[in-house]
Amino acid sequence: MEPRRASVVRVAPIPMVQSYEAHSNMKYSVGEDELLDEDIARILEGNQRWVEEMTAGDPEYFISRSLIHKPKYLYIGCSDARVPADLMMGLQSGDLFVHRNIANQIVSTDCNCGSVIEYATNHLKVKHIFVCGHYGCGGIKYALESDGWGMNDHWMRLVRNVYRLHAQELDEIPDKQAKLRRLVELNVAEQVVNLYKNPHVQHSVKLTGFPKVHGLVLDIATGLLVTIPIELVTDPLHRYDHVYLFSKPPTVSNPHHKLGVSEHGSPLKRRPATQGFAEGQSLDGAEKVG
Amino acid sequence: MALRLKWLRCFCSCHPGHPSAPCVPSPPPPSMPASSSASSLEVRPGLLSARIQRPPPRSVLARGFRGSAVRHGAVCEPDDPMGAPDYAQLLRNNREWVQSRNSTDPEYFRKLSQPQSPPYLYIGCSDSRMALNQMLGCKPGYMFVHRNIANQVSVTDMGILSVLSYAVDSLRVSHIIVCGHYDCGGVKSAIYGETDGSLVANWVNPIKRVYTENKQELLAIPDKKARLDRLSELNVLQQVHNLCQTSSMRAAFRRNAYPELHGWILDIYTGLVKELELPIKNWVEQGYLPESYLRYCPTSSPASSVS
Repeated sequence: MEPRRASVVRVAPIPMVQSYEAHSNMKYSVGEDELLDEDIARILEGNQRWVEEMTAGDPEYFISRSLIHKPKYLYIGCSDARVPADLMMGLQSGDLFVHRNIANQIVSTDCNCGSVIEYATNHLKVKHIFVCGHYGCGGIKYALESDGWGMNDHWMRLVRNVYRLHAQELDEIPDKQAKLRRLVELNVAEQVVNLYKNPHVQHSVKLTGFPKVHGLVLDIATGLLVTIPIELVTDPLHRYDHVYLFSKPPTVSNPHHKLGVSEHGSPLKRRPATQGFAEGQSLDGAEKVG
Repeated sequence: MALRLKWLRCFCSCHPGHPSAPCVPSPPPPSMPASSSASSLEVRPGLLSARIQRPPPRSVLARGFRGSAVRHGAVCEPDDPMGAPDYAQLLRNNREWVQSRNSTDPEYFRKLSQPQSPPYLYIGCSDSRMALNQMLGCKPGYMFVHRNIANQVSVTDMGILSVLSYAVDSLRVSHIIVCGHYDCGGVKSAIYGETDGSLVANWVNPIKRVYTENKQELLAIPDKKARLDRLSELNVLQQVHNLCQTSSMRAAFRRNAYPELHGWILDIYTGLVKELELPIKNWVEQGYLPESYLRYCPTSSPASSVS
């Protein structure tokens, strides 16, 4: 079958879209014999080769791993293509629950990241959470340099907020590259603090001591992981305990709670059970599958 | 003695056989050189060795951490069925990975640290069983990644909108891949309401609509697991459809420079990735895709047939 070709259609130049990474047409090769290949079919062939390799040593590999989903780690990292989350820590399929967004942000009002953290903490009960940034992050660079356009400005404002919190220290750094590197580290530390603000994380740590939260930075130029020093995180944490620490566990409305009295004092009426999932039944009325 | 063996019994399903058999990993493949270090990693069922987790031998690391499901010397605790390495081990693994990469190509990381130009944007599920770089044989630097629960694309979610904006407008990716998988916890919780009352329930709520719109087809499937798997596939198709409606993609369609869209599903039970057929003609007729998409992105059949 004839393989598909790369299919970005460029009919006319596009002057109004500014690309601050001037590399749209740049191709790079990682090794001498590895050419950048935009063919989707090659990726699917790579998948077949991986399956053959894993089942050669153990035919039950996928079946046995598919039965359990109990990862030990939650990884919140940058979307950057150069950061291989599982490879760089020597982890296999099944070890790492992953959320990736631009500049590894953890936002209180973000349902996307919030649902991942809640699921990982409450249901999967992960033992460790990694917030992983990397030097050379385009998002951090954009927040410092760009005039702002389009959708990204709203998201990059989060990084600018981190800059504001540490403006005194950052403004004193004369070298631009050193300033960017320091902002990457401070951004990771700030996201770790944001994690501690999450009530589910606080409650779980209070009850069980887990998950333990770690800040990491990947130096892509060397491939090594750098741990964020704990002082960067614990100082703001202890200073603002009276602001962010919850005294009660998070109130997740549980449909299976016994109905008693509402917060206004009036007794809650039990409505007749309706068909469907409103009363906790499954959508198709079937029993829960495994 | 019998009591002690029972206490040491492995509760994980990582190896077949009688459940009372001690957790002994499968013997190393014959290609590995026989060395004294390899023999010392042999797990001996006993009180002391049960608590010790030794790192894998260097020959395994050189092969890129590929091996059997049960790691050498891994202890399968009841609350850790996968036998994942300890946290302290992860940084050591990182050093080993760097060394193994540098031994094959000393310039590897220097080249990797150049500004990224990935041809693919991958939107996948947070599920830990989708180990991206290994699963697709894709080296670092190829895939710009966004992962969330049940690989949702929501037009009101700033996270994914910013990823799309950066990928489509700045990086100019050639392909956007939305990849789901069978046995998805997010799909399951949307149907069975296990996480009702939480943020996760709000997040996976759109899957309920996918269910009700395809109820006839889904209820016709007798096996419940197969029904959930089919719903995972329909969820992927819906998310690709949502992609077409985001502002970044619509702007890209307008200026006639847009990436090709793909919907994939990972069969967790076999590890194979399948490409789903998108209803491109319908979407063009309904106005979600431009007409030029039919001309430049042929859709007749998946790129490679996967058995």
